[in-house]
Amino acid sequence: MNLLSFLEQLATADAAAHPTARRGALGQLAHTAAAALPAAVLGALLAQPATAQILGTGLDGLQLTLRVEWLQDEFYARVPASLVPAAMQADFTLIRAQQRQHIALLESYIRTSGGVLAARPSYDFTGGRGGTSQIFPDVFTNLDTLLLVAQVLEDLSVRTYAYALPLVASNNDQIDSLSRMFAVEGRHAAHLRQLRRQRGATVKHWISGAETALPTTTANVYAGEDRVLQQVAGLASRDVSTLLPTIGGITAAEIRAAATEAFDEPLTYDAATAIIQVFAY
Amino acid sequence: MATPHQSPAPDEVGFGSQLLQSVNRRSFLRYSGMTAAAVGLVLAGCDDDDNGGSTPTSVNLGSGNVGVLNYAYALEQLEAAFYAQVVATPYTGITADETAALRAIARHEAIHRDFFKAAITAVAPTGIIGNLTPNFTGFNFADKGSVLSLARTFEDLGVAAYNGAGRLIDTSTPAGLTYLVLAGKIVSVEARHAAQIREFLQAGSFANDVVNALGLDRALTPTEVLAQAQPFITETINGSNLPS
Repeated sequence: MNLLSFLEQLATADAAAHPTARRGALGQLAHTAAAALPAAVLGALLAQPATAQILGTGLDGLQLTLRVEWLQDEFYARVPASLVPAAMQADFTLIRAQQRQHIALLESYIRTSGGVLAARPSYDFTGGRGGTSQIFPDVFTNLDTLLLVAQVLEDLSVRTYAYALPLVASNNDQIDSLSRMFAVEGRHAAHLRQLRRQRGATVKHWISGAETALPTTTANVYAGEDRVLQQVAGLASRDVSTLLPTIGGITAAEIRAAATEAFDEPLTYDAATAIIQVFAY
Repeated sequence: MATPHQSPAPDEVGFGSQLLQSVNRRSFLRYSGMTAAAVGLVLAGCDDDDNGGSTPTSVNLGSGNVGVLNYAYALEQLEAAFYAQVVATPYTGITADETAALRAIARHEAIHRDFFKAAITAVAPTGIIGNLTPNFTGFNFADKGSVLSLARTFEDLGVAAYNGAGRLIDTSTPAGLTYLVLAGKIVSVEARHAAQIREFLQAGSFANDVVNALGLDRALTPTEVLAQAQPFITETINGSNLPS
């Protein structure tokens, strides 16, 4: 990133959509006022890549996970009972009940953290944002499409909690609760994948590599899930695919797949927001 | 149906050279498990080479972030050893879907285990615990119900352990914050495993009795987790110095 593009991002940052990037950038610039400006700005710029994955405040993490939980709550509320077999209906009922419990907890945390609860936006699970240019036109008339969108939303939720968890690091109760909700979302996601498998979809219970671009190539919920480098001690990275050998009837492709499956990767704030905005407007 | 030759690969080959240690006991178990009918006897015949042939009676996880990492490493060692054996000696009546899932889980757990080994070796080469000796004496790996039930126990326990460990991590340093990020990246994968194993046992049980009325999965303290894990580990695990 160069100085011009950094300043351009600062100028165009949407305060509502990405509060902390703007706040953080402004804060960094404010810090530079008392120091030699060019060197300090350069230092701030260099620091950007290292913090990109967990950019934000605890409140940002809570607000983003709430927006995703709302999205899921609204989705399951719209599922037509006539389309869904009884056993699956029970699963959906359980999933939605747990998501509504998450919403209650997240809203209480946001209130006690001094945050403001926004009104829920409008939702359109065809991906058409209220218009006719739809990505999933049969989302509520075709069970396979319905399950696909449900899976996307659950995996989005998992990856959003992965983003949010380190942001609440200073609050033990919130660490505890977010981790536990995060795990529940993992259970949901695996189950949606199981339901799709039962209907013949070629999908695993865990995210394997950068799966087919969903819901769109510009807002792909699986972007970055092909990561095999994991941090060691916050200083170095390790290619975890090297941790399994190439002997024993396991192919190199299988090793690489396993290396990506073993870790769910956080989305950035912007990436998660872009996916939310496919369904909410 | 998995064959023994398709068992998840041992960890010593292909591992970074600075981390390469002598062939560990688990790998021996993994190979010997391919032909051994009596798993308990194989285990009884193994020594922990990290200790010059004598099995330690107690392993201290240590304190601070290294202690928390060792705690996770110990649990991942147990899970990896369990699934390696499950894959090496598939239970009677295993389905193709179960085989695929169990093989994948075995790989994931092996990666988690070896990743922790690499991470702890990098930050605390003298603080890392050695290879633990799993104890599945008397456990019937041929029985589907037994295997899946224990798998469910281990996965739900793993989820609860990571959930309980988050608050124990000192995140005041960049490295510490990285550990919290990692705990998150792993907890949801363990939860995915748990959901799948539960589905094999009982349809619709993916998130029922382990999730409370607030929508929260379980969180357990190291003391609670180690009490459940200890029966399957030969060495006595001492977590008394862990943060609380």
